[in-house]
Amino acid sequence: MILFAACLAVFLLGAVLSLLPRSYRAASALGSGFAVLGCLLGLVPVVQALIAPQDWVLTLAWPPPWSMGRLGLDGISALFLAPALVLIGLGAVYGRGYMAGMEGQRRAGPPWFFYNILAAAITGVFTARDPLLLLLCWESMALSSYFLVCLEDTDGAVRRAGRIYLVASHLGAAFLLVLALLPGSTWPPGAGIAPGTVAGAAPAGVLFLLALVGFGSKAGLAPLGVWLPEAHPAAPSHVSAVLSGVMIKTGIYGILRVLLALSPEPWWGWTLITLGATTAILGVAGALAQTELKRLLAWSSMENAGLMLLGLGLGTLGRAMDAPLVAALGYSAALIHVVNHGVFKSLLFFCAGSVLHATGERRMDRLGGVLKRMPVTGAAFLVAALGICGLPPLGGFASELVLGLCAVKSLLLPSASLDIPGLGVLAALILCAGMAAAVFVGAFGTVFLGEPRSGEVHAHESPAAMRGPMIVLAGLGALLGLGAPLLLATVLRALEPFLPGASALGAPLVQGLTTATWVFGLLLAFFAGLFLLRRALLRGRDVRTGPTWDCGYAAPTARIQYTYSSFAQPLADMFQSLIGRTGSMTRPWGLFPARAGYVAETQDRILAAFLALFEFLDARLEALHRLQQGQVHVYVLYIAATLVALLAWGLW
Amino acid sequence: MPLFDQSSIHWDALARILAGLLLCPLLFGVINRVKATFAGRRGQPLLQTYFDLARLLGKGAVYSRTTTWVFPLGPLLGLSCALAALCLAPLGGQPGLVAFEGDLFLFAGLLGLGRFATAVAALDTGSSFEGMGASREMQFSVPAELAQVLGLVALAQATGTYSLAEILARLDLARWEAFSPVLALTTTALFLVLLAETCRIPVDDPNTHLELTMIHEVMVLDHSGPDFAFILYGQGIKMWTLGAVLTGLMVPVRSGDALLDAALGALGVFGLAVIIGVVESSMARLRLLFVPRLLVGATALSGLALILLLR
Repeated sequence: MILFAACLAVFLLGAVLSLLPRSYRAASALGSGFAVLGCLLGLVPVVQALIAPQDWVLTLAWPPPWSMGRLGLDGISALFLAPALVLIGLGAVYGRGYMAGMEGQRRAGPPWFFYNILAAAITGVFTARDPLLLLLCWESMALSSYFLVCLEDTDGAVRRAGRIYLVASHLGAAFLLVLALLPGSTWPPGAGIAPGTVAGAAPAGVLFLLALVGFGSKAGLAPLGVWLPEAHPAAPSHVSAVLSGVMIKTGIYGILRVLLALSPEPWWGWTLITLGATTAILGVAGALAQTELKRLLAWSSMENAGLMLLGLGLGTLGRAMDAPLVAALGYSAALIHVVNHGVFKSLLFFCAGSVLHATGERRMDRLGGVLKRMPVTGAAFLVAALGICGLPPLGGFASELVLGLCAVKSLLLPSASLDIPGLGVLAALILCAGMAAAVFVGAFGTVFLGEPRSGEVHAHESPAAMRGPMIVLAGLGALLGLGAPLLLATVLRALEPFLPGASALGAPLVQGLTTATWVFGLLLAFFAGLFLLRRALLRGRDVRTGPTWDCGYAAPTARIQYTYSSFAQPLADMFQSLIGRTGSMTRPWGLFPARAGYVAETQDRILAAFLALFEFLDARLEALHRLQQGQVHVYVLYIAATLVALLAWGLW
Repeated sequence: MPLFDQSSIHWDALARILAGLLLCPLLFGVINRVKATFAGRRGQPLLQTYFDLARLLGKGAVYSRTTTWVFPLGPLLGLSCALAALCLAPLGGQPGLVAFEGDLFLFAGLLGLGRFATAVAALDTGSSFEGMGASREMQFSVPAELAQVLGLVALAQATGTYSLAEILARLDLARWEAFSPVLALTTTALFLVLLAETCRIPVDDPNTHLELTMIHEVMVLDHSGPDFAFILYGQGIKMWTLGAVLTGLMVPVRSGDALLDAALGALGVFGLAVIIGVVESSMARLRLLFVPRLLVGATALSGLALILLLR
């Protein structure tokens, strides 16, 4: 725990130190260097806790009031912290390269101050052991990330996104405030209180709902996650990667803690599965309708948060219905997906940032052929896309397999109560996997393949500081595929204290994943064999290059290529009822058709509904302005009146 | 009581895999012969696909200037995935090379990876026709994959096991008597998926010459020489693999003799090729807009089969 305390101290020290130097380079070197150092220090105890879970607790020698200041590191915390620290560290390296071009435009100190504070706050959220500390870390996480989102604050759209994020995150925090301040509340809740009855004064169901709304808004659950597709694309790319890859998971972490600490009821599971399926399908359908790469990735993050929630829901139902196998597999599926999604989504954001950095173009339909000029970025994007679609042999497949098998096993239980949820989870999972594949084939194909769509794009490969983290993450992604059995075993070990016997129950699946790895090996062997065969066959033969065979039309322009909008349009039309009209079409008409076109554009209808609601509330609450006079003596009058009223009430 | 080890490697499956490797190009010959007979033609030789493969493997290649290393990835990964899926597929109730709990997800995942690679390679040419094909392929794969997985899970539910080998080994005549409506629904759904995955009428017409209406064929317009041979052979392997799983369901004869069962299974696959030929001869291709409806219909059938099995 000493190393862990050092990690937190290094983050805070780095935050302060990066503010001091005047030079841009010194500040960014200090800021990113301390973030990386902190992550490395923190990883040591985290890895130890993963190998042999033990409940380390760090209590300050002079504890602040309200028993604040306890940090603990058990298996679950370590499981969330390990990818978080890796991603934050890599994000710091990447961010230094990403922001190197801004020298002279702004100071480097503040962004790195907030980045280090964010790192410390996220670490704190994952390890806090009392409600007030959790709340404090939660709030510093929200605020520091708000300032990071608004880094490019000269852009009006960025300021708007930041405002939406700030409002949404504080609406969520309000529910957590209630959760933390309930009389007798603890974190994780209900520890030490007889399960199933009451925690303090509140029934367990209320605690669950408070946590679901409060944490769920951070995880991007529909309809509370409306801020996510706004805020994530607005932030600088290394921050987007941390927001999508790490911060979403703080929401999942909170919900998981509450679920594991209390003894659940079946309706919790039903709620989670309904919300999860809605979020997942809305998220992936929304991704179909996007025109900007980073926005698409943010929608896909919503989808993946939904998938994690499906796992949590099945696990909860399994616990409530006394089906330990389903419980173990459901929670493991969610946790494995936390790790996988963290790695792949951060990598995707790094790649998207690299493209944005090189071309300055956000819209996919204006890019094209980037792979030729940015080979590393393109290859990394392809790996991450395969991973996020849940395709073998990468890590994403393991989460899909565990969740799918969990759903299938819940169908075959002797009791019928898990049938419908299992079927729903299975259908949502496969539907999302298929649609995600369509989304990422389209995105990769449009941005990286073909010919450049707008002539003035001069892309160049990113600097080494940005390429390095991408290569490391792509390697990690491949390792996650081959090491999936190991990851599942680690997850089951971390769950063991909460679900006794989880390791034994999951052992056959670990065995199954090992066999799947065997098939991956077979697949790679086939691939290598065919590759060599093809090379041998083509050696010395007549291999020519020519124009693309466009049905014999040899003078194609880049403009006639399929764009992302045209690629996704048939599928987006199938889901039109969910995402609304995706665009406006001008049909060619008349004997001499003049102008025809199709503009793809979507409105986020949930966000629009929220904005309308706020406007309505704003109008209705105008009357309260009269209370707010802005004159001190009126406020003193209020205080006096309140005191008198309380006095009267007390004396009654 | 499991019939085989739950997660294990069956070396005896190598002979069955070899049979699939050697016989799969013959399936196209059988289909063409059936279509020719219906049309009153003599038709091409039964072994035509073997000749085509040999000819393509002996050729050089032409590549588009637009393409990158992603382009050859399509045929290479497509064929590797088909081969890996072949290793998972049981034949005639006999297990594939590898079996484990939940391998049906890996089976679907491998087909998905192959599709991903093919579609990405198509987009690499920058041709609008190939983009069109890739877009349609990915669109149709969403309901097709759902129908396939739900269908396989319905079979798992009917047999109470989770690995393809175990599921298909248990589907015998007694199981058909007990679950005939469910199995009939699943058979229909999986047959529709097979037609879609192997680009057959009514989903796609392998003989069409109009690029605007093609799906699979248009995605591979730019491939030539050995690359195209890989694609053609991969199509054959895919048809054999999906056919082997489907005939395991349609021909529920389990004599107990491994050789006889495998032979029956292989015969069943050729019977399926005859059925495909009959379907192709007796109906026209669907309008593109109706294809998703057909596949969503297949999903509904699989889903219905699964719901019928719930208590």
